Amino acid sequence: MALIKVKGLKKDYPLGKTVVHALRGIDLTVEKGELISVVGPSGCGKTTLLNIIGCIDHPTEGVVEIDKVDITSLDDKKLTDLRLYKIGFIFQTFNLIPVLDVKENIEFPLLLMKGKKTFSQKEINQRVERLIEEVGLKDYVKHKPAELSGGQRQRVAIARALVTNPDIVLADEPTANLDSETGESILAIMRELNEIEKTTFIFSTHNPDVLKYAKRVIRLKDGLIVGEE
Amino acid sequence: MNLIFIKIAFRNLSRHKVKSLIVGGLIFLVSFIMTIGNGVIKGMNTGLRKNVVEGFTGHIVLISTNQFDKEVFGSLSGRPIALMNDYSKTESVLKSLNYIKDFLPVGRNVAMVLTETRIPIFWLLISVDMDEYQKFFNSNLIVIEGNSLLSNDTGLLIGSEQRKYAANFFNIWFYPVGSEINYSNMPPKVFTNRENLEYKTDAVLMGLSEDFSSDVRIPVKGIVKFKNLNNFFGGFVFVDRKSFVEIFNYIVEKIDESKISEEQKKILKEENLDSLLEEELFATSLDVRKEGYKTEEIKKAIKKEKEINYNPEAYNAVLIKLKNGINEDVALKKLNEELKKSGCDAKAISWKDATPQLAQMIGMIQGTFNMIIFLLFLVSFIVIMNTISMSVIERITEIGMMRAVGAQKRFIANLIRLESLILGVVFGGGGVISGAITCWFIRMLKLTSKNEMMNLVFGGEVFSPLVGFGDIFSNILVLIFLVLLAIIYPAGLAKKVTPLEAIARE
Repeated sequence: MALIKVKGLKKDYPLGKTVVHALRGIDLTVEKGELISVVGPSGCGKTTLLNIIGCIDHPTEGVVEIDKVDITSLDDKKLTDLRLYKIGFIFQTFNLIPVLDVKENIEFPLLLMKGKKTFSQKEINQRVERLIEEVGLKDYVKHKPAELSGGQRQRVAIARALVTNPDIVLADEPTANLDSETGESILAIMRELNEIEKTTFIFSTHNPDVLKYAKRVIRLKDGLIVGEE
Repeated sequence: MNLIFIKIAFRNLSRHKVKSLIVGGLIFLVSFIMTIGNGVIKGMNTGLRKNVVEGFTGHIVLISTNQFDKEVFGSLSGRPIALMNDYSKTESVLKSLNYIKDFLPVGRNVAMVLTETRIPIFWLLISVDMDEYQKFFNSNLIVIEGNSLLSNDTGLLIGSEQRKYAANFFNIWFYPVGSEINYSNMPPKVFTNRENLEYKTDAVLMGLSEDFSSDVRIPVKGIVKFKNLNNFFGGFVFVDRKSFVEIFNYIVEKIDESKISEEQKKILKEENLDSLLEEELFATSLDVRKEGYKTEEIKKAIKKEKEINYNPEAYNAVLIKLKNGINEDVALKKLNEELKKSGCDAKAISWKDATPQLAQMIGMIQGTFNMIIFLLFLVSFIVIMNTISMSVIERITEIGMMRAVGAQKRFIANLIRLESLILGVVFGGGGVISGAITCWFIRMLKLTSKNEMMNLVFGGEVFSPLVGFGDIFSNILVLIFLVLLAIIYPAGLAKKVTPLEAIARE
């Protein structure tokens, strides 16, 4: 069953008097439980594609369906809810809340939830503790982001992305700011979680060494898909 | 949810200490000044109200229905006011009302003091039973020279400020008859000029009235001053009842002109009648034409005029004190209804209306304070808005990231609001409480001033800024309102931050 369906996706950015065509017509289908890597040189449109799928950016043209819902027709409130309940994000620069410690950062999205999907504090604690253990940060629960290494921060970001049990986790160059050993350990965690939780992962990278962790590789060039493995 | 919300707000404030201290310090300063300013204004109002109501006007003043200008007390001279007709009817109505504690009828009008320079001095005359007056106003009047007026005395009690005015502008120094000149009571400027002063123990008064009035020479019995607000009300001149009705010719029956011959009428119209009788009302006799009049005829005419029955109930105002706990506005309304229903020639006005100049000055002082506070508010509004906007701009990545992981715009705006409100409550509350403590401390010091303007600001001679618990609460509310107003723009700015901006800033 297709979780993500992208059809004829185009994205243009005005740059002064010229227009940059970041995406020139992407067609893509992602099934539930896939672990996909989007690769390509800088400026090929990897981040733009992930941003649009993650409801962070709007396409200029085309259709993007997540769980059969066309996200291009949703308002800001619904897009925000979609990000909260269905999508998890892992950023290149970790983007943690500096004033919160590891546990608080991980539980933050859960505390934003309202209505049927709210959790009791006990459930939140259980969920967070399990994830902390899975990403190997048991001894750093009370540490603030500034007191952690890059790899540790990215682990926190992974745990935060997974805490809501999302359908999709989008990771934009998750290893770019990490050394190769740490980067590989992060990807190993992602792969493990993909297998255990059956969460769909899409991560972008320009590092060919990490491609082995992906089950499917999509190659982008100049805003177009040029190959798939 | 709420806990993390508060945690983020508090920790952000602590993280951006300098900004928090700038905004907080400003809020503290505004709240401190606002509390002290409000305390001074409230103290002034309370003090003035207490001093004016309990020392000069009572809660309510009655005047004639024919009187449109409400100024009963105020300036050094004042303006003439109409006589209240049939006072006894008004008196019986007042006696029947259970919310009235006490009332005092007063003759009040304006007379000219005739001087040799032919430039008259205008005096605001108050005619009242002095014992009743002192009882009504808790002995607010102090005799500083001479004696007070007893029931059957004829004489004047001149207010110390009025005497000072006469000395400064007319070189006349009044002092009580039968007393020595007390140089120690002379203001320094007057004392320096003592050689050039004319010393007088009486005054020739001519009533300012639309009807006929008389010139009457009245001895000065005493010089008086008020315990409070003497600078403002010390221009009053008290006169005995008999002289008052004589000056203003307040008579019960009109002269039966048929009993006066044409020649006598002509004599009575003569301007320098006093000189014709050689009674030397003025210190220097004036040249008058004596030929053509028979002295006997003159004396007969005057005698007939003196046989007129003067009105013992000639009052221009009634001062009323209400019982404790009675609302002034409600009582004023009810009283006017009663007076109208009973057909009295009286209408009730508030003590503030009766002292318009005082109210005007209070308004000016309050206006100045309010303007200062408004300017402070404006400056604070701009600084708070700018500082928090800057803080939002600096935190765009963080805000954008929160939006990316699912925080709604409202959450972000509320977070900014909460941070600002914490500053408002902590620093504003601190400022208000510090201001209140300062006011209480100043009150304990019992600072006094004799300066006229300061007396108004103080609401009396003692500086007593007043801050109650209700004021503390309302001041904090005002500050919260200011903060909420100042963060509309930054909160809006924060709401506009998109997750994309967080990523773009990477």
